[in-house]
Amino acid sequence: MPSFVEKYLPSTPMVEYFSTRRSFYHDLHTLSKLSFSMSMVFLTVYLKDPRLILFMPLIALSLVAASRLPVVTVLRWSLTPALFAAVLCVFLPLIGYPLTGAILIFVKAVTSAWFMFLLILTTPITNLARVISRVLPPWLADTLILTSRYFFLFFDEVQRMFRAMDSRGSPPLKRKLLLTSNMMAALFVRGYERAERVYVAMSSRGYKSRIPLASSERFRMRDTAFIASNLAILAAFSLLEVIL
Amino acid sequence: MAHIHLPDGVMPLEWCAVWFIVAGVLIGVAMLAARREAEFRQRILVAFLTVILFVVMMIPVPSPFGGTHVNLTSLAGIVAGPVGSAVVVFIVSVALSLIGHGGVTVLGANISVLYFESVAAYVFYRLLRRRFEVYASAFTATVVSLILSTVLTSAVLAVSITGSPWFYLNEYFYENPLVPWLWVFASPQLVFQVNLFYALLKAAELSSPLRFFTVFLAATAPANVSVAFIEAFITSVIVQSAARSRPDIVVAEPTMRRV
Repeated sequence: MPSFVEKYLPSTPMVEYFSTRRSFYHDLHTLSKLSFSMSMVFLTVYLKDPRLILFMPLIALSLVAASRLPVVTVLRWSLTPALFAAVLCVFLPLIGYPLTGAILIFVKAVTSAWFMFLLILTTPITNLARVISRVLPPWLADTLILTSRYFFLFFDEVQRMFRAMDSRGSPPLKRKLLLTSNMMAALFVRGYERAERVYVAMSSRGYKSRIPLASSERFRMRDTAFIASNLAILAAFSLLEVIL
Repeated sequence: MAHIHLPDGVMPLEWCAVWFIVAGVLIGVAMLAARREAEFRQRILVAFLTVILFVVMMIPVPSPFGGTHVNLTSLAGIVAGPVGSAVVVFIVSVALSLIGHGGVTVLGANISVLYFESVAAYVFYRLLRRRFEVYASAFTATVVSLILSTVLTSAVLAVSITGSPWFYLNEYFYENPLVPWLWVFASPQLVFQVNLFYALLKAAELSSPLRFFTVFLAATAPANVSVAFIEAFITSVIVQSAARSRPDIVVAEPTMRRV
């Protein structure tokens, strides 16, 4: 049975697991996938025509399925953005908004999340960090890369502590809250000291400024074709938006 | 959760751009300051806090008004200070948006609100520490900053959702799908002017930021305030523990000793 953390924190190990699968979408360059997801999110938000907006979830889910990703898991993960969107959309009719407008906002929120899942579930985190770090200032890029490394350290630590807590039974809520906060305090200091040890190890190996990230990714012809088709979709939808 | 991670689509793109500019200025100023004091140890703290915030934001906390989660942005403000917490907030928001926990187009708004929480907690903690103990100062600073950020979120949403003339123009076209066809039969300029006039009338009728602000704040405040106390409890326990065992890493501590 999955522990508390495993149940609600499926992201990083699952992302790593799914991103190593093979499909045509997995094989694309990170830059191609990033530009596709970002442009689709902006297009989804930009569109006003309900018929065109309803096309976007179809595109997203078709690509999720074609990329051999678990559609059910993706739908489960989209409960979080759906919940946030629902909380907001409930208020819109109260201030005189049309109900259809509120529903379309909900659809846009969930669809945008699907496009981001498509990116994150088909791209190894280090590849994504490498591409994003190119556009960031050096020390911010380093921090981002360190974060992606520390995540695994911290995740191990959290899992171990939650499992230990779970194995001691289920205390009343008040006691559980006290235990959790004490555990978090211990986790904070222990985790920081562990991160510091990583720093000492890096310094002793001659780390000075930038963390180099190697990658075997190559920008191929199919990436050019993919980006071209992405631009064609953007142009077609923008044109249809104006015509309709 | 003293605020909602705004999802994509809740505000029109022009308002997304406005909040991107606001967040860009805030983070940009912090980056300039960070360049001066960016020692590697600070990066460790920032990276570590980023991970903590990222993980914590994904753990649901039961509340009387439904499931929610804590942020610990106030912890980031107290421990890393305004400069470090800017980086923490930036990376956490970007990472969360990748997994659908907050939108991409609304990153600017989400970053602005989270950063406000951190800075407010830092300022209140510094002020309170002159007279009170670590625990009481961290607890109060967290509660106050989270309540203020609830108000700020409602204001951001009220202005962004109800204050966009273009949005109402489009809304007007949705509700009157035949109107665009008039273009075929009448002078485009005339049709545009007539439609703009009606759209502005509708905007005046619907556009009530204060109304939205009041409704949204009244509806979300109970859940947010109850969770603010849970978050304050967790934050103050962590800050107290860190201030005792590693005072060198708590930036907001007046007696912080750098080693």
